[in-house]
Amino acid sequence: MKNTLVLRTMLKILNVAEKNDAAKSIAAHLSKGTSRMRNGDSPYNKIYEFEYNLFNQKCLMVMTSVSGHLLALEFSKQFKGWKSCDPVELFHAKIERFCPDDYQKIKRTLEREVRSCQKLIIWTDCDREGENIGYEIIDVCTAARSNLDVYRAIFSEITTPSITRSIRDLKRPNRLVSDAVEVRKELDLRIGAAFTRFQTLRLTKVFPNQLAENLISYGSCQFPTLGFVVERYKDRENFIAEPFWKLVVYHEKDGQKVEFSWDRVRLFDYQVCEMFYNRLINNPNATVQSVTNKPKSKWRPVALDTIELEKSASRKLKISAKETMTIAEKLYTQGLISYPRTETNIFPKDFNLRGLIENQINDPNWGEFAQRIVDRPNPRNGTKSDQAHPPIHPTKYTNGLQGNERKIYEFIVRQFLACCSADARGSETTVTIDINNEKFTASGLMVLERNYLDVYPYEKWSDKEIPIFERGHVFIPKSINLKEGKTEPPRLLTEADLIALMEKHGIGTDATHAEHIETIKERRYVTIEQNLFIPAELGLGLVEGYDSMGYAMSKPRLRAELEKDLQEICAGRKTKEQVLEAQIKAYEDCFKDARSNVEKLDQALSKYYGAPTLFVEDTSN
Amino acid sequence: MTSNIQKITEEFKRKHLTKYSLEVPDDWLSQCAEFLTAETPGKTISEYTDLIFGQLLDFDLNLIGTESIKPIFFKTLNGTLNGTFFLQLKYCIDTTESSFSLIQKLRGIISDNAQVDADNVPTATQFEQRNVKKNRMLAIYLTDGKNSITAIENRMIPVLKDDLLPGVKVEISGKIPFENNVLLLEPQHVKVLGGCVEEIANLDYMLNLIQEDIALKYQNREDRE
Ligand SMILES: [Mg+2]
Repeated sequence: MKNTLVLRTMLKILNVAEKNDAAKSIAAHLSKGTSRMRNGDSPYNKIYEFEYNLFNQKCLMVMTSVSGHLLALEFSKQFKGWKSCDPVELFHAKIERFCPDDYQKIKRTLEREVRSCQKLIIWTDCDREGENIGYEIIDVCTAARSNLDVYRAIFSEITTPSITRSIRDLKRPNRLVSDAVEVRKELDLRIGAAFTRFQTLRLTKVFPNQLAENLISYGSCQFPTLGFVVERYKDRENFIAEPFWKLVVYHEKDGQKVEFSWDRVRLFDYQVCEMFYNRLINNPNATVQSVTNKPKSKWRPVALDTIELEKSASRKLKISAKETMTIAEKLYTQGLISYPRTETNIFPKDFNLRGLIENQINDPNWGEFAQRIVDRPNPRNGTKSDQAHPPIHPTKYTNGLQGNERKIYEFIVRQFLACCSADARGSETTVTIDINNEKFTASGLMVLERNYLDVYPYEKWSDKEIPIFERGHVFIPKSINLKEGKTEPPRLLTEADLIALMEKHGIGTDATHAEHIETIKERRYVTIEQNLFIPAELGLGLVEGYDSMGYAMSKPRLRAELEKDLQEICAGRKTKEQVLEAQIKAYEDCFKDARSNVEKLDQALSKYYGAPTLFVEDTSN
Repeated sequence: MTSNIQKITEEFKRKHLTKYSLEVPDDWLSQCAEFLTAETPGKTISEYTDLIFGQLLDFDLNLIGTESIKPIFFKTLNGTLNGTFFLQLKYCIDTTESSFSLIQKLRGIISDNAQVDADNVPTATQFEQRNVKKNRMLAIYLTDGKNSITAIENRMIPVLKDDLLPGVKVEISGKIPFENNVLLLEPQHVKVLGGCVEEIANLDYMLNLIQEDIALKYQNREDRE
């Protein structure tokens, strides 16, 4: 009896977060700022210690972190060299999981710390990648100490209430979600390496003057992403502009000008349009047919998810998706906003909106607005939920940010307040006139309540005056004009359009859109002029080459199926092995096809680079 | 010409051509009759005239080069066309939409992706506008064999569709007003007689015609300036 008492020293628990900043903040929230810091082996990943009541006893908490993924995948040695094997072998070559040199110190710290601990709590980000990083930590820790009791903390924001809630309600890690990421990583490695080696080895030889030093990478997300850019570019190139004609009626009444537009909008035949014009000119009496007043509203924004944040920041703030997400991550780790990777745009019913709005009432710019709505928050919800995180919202007030960090934080706050307020309301007056059986309408707008617009300077809505008309009134308009216009091609893609397309076709996840876009920029497959994406010669040639093989390499279908399969793994409807086998087969078939048609790739690029050099297989080894 | 052939062509004129303001050259008729009697001997005269009519439906009027409509239609800008006409369709198209969008539709290459525009997320107003369906107004381009005629559906004509192929024969009848040399058709004025001119009854030919007309629109515009 006495012996066991002595042995039962304080329960020691290892806690591991995804990044040092997160570990530091979580430790601060749990310990109410009393945690003690010491160094680990890695200078960037500190260790924070504090006591905490958990499992009905006082525990010693050791909180440290990794720096994202701790382990990586690579081919075994005999497949590593670019000339070591035929690239097709990479679809089945042996793969090993290893800890890269940069992370060895983190790994050592974990191994040492866990030896004296009985339990492990995973505090990585609560998304797919986070779950997978969690299992990397678990694998390293359980190898160093068996019989470890492992928990998972689930949280969406790094604030005291949220962190305390999550530790009171610890769960077990989810192996299925981690498996999905494991499959994704393996497929990305195999598919990327096989195609990248294949096309780089080929094209650098065939076009030595232009491409000798290039790495011509392929990725199952980056290629469809590039494909969208090329597709839009070609839509423009192939567009045939056409003239059209329309009738416009101008009038002036009570000193106000008004323009009536034709109900037929526009016609593409001049002779026909001129016929109507002649009719009106010959008998220009206009009769007011109806005058209606209708309430009109302009909708406030929907609760913010990642994709909307990226698109809005790109469009409204001119900050790229990549930078936006980097900043958002930082604001999250500082506890200023909720977790920024979320697909949810619905606030849960019992969500403490009031408290969150209250946080903002002292701001000189939007405080007054926050005060106005604090008692009756009425969020506009969308329809999507990932069942994991709430919409992005501010969790804490700050006025200490600068530059783009400030802009993003301000946007998130304003968007949140706007979402929780009310639609703008106005009254629209529509006047319909009839001239010789042709109908024309004009409308005016009176903005009655600005509501959310007061806090949301990113959108405009303003009054448009119209003179007063009475039904039955007959008048001769000041002028009737036959006007000409021309159809416009669709414009080149903006980053926001590109994200919208990726989302539409299921390319990547909200967590990775920005990275794929970054990759096609870095590889110089695309260039950007005035915020518009233009395919570069290399990008055009590659897409045209694969398209001419009749293979859907640059089309979203293959990758979208892969993403769907990953979700099936998470849901437990397919196994890791099933998906791996099916996907490897799909891409391997595609690879073999591409390889036997490789001349088409040469031909497509020779459009830009001139005649191809004869390809000689390099057999030196 | 044998007397049988002569009988057939005369019966054809009586039975079919008195109805239409249409002149078919005698040698075309007799050649057609000779061909048919040789191909399918032993039919009655009346049966042969119907077969000739069938041949006419499948024949390109441009090759016969009749000008049935010219004398009445092109004298003045405005007026009334009275009679029954046998005409050939070039194509018909919703003139409130661009031809290019029709070309894409017919080729089956409408890409939804081209509609994605993140700057133009629909607002409440746009949503309402989108639901207001504009009425179509087909422009119908016809030929009598030599002259091109523009008509519109003054009221929706259900038998006309924008995927009717070039060469289809159309009967236009009644007292039909025209303004600015545009015929204003009502459903009762129009009958699609059918027919298939093999050489031109295909999408490529039609798209060519449309593209030529787009070029012509630009040319005419320059001329007006
Ligand atoms: Mg993360």
